[in-house]
Amino acid sequence: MSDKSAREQLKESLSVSLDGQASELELRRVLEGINNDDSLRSLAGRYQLIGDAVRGKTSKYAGVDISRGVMAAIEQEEAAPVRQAQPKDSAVAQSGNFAQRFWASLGKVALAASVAAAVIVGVRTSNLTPEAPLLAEHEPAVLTQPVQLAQTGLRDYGVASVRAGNNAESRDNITPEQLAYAQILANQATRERFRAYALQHAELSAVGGAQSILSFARLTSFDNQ
Amino acid sequence: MVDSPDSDQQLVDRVKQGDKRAYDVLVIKYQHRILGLVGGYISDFQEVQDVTQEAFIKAFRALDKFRGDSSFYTWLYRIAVNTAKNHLVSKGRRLPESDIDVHDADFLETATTLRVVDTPERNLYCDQIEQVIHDVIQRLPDELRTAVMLREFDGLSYEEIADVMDCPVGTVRSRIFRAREAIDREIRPLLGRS
Amino acid sequence: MQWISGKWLVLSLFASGALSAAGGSDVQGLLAKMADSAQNLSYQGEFVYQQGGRLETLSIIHQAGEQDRPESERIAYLDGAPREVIRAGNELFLSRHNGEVAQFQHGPLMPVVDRFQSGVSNDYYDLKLVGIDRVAGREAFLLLVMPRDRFRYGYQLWLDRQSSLLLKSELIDNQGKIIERLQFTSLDVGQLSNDTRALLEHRPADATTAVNSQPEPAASQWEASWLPEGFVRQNRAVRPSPVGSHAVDSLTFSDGIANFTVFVEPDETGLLSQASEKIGALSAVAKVYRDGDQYFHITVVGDIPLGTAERVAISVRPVQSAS
Repeated sequence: MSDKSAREQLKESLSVSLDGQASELELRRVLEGINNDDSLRSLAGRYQLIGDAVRGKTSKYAGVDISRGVMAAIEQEEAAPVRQAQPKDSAVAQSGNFAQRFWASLGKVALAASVAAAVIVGVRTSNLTPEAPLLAEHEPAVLTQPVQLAQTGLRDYGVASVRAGNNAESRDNITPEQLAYAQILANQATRERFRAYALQHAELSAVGGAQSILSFARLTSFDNQ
Repeated sequence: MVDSPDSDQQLVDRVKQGDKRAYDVLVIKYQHRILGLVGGYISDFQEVQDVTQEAFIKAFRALDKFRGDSSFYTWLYRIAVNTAKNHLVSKGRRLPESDIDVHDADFLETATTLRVVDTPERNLYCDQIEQVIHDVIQRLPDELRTAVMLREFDGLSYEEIADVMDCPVGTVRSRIFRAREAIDREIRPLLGRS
Repeated sequence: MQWISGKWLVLSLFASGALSAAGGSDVQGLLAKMADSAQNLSYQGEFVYQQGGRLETLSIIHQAGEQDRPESERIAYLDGAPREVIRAGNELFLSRHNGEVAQFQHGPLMPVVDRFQSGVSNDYYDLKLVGIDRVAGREAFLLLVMPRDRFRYGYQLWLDRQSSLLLKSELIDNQGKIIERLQFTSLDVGQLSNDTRALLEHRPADATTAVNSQPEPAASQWEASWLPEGFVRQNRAVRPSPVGSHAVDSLTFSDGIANFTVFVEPDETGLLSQASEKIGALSAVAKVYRDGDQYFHITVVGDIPLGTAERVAISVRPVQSAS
């Protein structure tokens, strides 16, 4: 009918697909487009946001996108489980499993001592008090070469120096999806650690006897919302 | 009605046929609503994302058991609520006193009983976005505005909208698309990186 | 007569000879008595804990050590999911109402002190006895323990005049804001009834999680090359990690009133992240340390400002042996 560009047609097909009214062919094109084209993916998110806004349903999570993480997790749900020493305590995290699944998705089976690359993901900060030093913000990085995790400056500990020094080509191609997934896993492990160690800290500082009341009262931050 | 069951049926069918990419679209469609829902049970920002991700993964795994007796969203909603509650229990935390009922959460007309969360938690950011979107919609040409509101707010299908507006379905789809494009032009700069 | 502390009351204490001076040494003495009483008296009570927007109720039962039994205590969380902590001798049990029990065990309780440290030092805190107040129906000395640097927090402490036990505590940050408040609503000092003592005998059948320290660990291979002044190492434990199968080295530091612990563990996963978080009154920092091909997770948790925890975390490194 009209002389629309292919791009415009694809966008319209996306609009129609979100409404569930697309033809088979259209839908197939849209799915392919979303898979390959980040901007079409973002557009899908924005179209959805419009609908949510019209219904008054936007929330503080409007800027969040977990779709990549979900798809990455689904991708290697099918990957063979990797044999690794299991953590003894089921009561706390199963992050041993998390990491297994992530590395399996990269096709890497060997871990620990023989791991050739490590992924250091974002610096997540929350509730910073004014005296906390500035940290590199949300810089996921793939470590591919020897790096100085130097203690010289507060500002470039770890992650920033990884980015700056990264001029060797990446030995492993990690997709943004996998990186997003890695971020989620690593954050979960960190959170489990924080909780477990807050408990241990309470217990260790109660050893002397005088501090136990305060030490254990402080743990209510965790177990209760 | 939020979404007529049809609008997800196509995608769900495709996933069942083995096309995972269709699930990607479903996630994009519903992630923010589920995040808001889970946020009513869990307060930690990061934890909400993790639990929501887990809910979507669970739903994917269980998809072959989804028969279509309810809408996909209602079914997903239930899974998300259970995932959030199980997460709380596993951490030894207290559950909220009453559940967020799917009908009340979405069709808040008269909330006579006090619920744990009536509306998703908001901030300046989403207020601004919503304001811009509403402003643009108000300034749209009548036929574009009517089409997009009938679709998004009233949840009518293209056929139903064609009926109401007395025009061909092809016109309906084009009008809705143009309305979305006009709005997108305004909000894209606000969202910066996507 | 007002119970609010003020100069007038302090002067009246002078006059009555109750105190010979209102300065640092008396505060140190009172704090030492507080520690002593907490350990060697039997008492029970209920208190509230306030942090952020939350208010929690807890209870405590404490039994002083006797010839045939070790010192033991029970702290119960009265709000939300029922949980309790029972400490007896070397062991500690944390029981959750969903049945999970975490059990901790130390080696022989020989705290390791690197140099002689007694109580809270005037070098790092400004110690002041402000006067007398009333808490939970009991007369209390109000003490100020104000930091001399920005690396630690300040305290307002109300100590029971009769027993020197802590009745109320406020933690104050470097901006002067009160971060947390703990306050007894009732306290009974004295021998516990048999029924009450029975609550301390309560032992869960099975521990879901057992955290047992290595009994005689070798010298620590890790050290914190930077510490705020006045902090010395109090404790060391080597335990299984909560997130892996390896061992975690934990070092606890204290300046007499503030505490933090450094945890170091090797990485098995190849997935690392760094983070800083304030969890209530506690600061928690996770850092990554790389040594050749080996990565380590360094975690610092304690009741210190976040910046201090950060700085300690990035100073943690293998012990530099003179070779």
